[in-house]
Amino acid sequence: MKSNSLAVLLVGVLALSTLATAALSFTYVQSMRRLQKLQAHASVINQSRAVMHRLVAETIDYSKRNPAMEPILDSVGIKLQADAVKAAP
Amino acid sequence: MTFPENQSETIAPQPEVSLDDLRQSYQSLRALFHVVLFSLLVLTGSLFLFFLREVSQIRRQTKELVQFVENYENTSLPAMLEFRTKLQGFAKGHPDFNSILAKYVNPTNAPAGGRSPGEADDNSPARMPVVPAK
Repeated sequence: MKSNSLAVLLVGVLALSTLATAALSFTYVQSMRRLQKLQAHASVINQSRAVMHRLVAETIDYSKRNPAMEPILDSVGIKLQADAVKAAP
Repeated sequence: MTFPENQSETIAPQPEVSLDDLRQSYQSLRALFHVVLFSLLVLTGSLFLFFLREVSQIRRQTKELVQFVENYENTSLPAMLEFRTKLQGFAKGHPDFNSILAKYVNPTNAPAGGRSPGEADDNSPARMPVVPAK
């Protein structure tokens, strides 16, 4: 009788553990899908930033030929950063 | 092919099985059942712990990425759009800048029929991609 109750106990705990693991695996899949979407989003953002950095670099180069560009760069604070980069060793 | 006429001749005589042997077999089978149950419990418990760690790690990464995206959409993106608008305004008065700007953003005077042969694709990495809303 004692051994039988042990089996019942083990089966009960096993069922609970299986249910909990199944629920957690479902949560895992959902979380992973959301993370993958966010990673794709972040990838697009990084790509956008890289393009913007190249545009800023070309605009700074252009401002050396045409000083009329400098007020625009100053208005967004880019020229200051460029000056700081120049000043840096 | 010939079949034996008397089947009792082909079947080997079964040895006598005592009650003690049956009891012993039953006990060992029950012990084996407990061992299997316990092993399955350990297995599902390990899987549970594994998924728990993975989910917590994924949630942490998700939180970081959400902050990154929110930071971009609240601070960087408006500044980038403002800069782009100013550059497009500048390019109207300075056509020589159009060649630089056209490499990165859509030209303001794009033909309605489509892009010119030398023009890059809107989705190419050289262009500023449009970030989709969350």
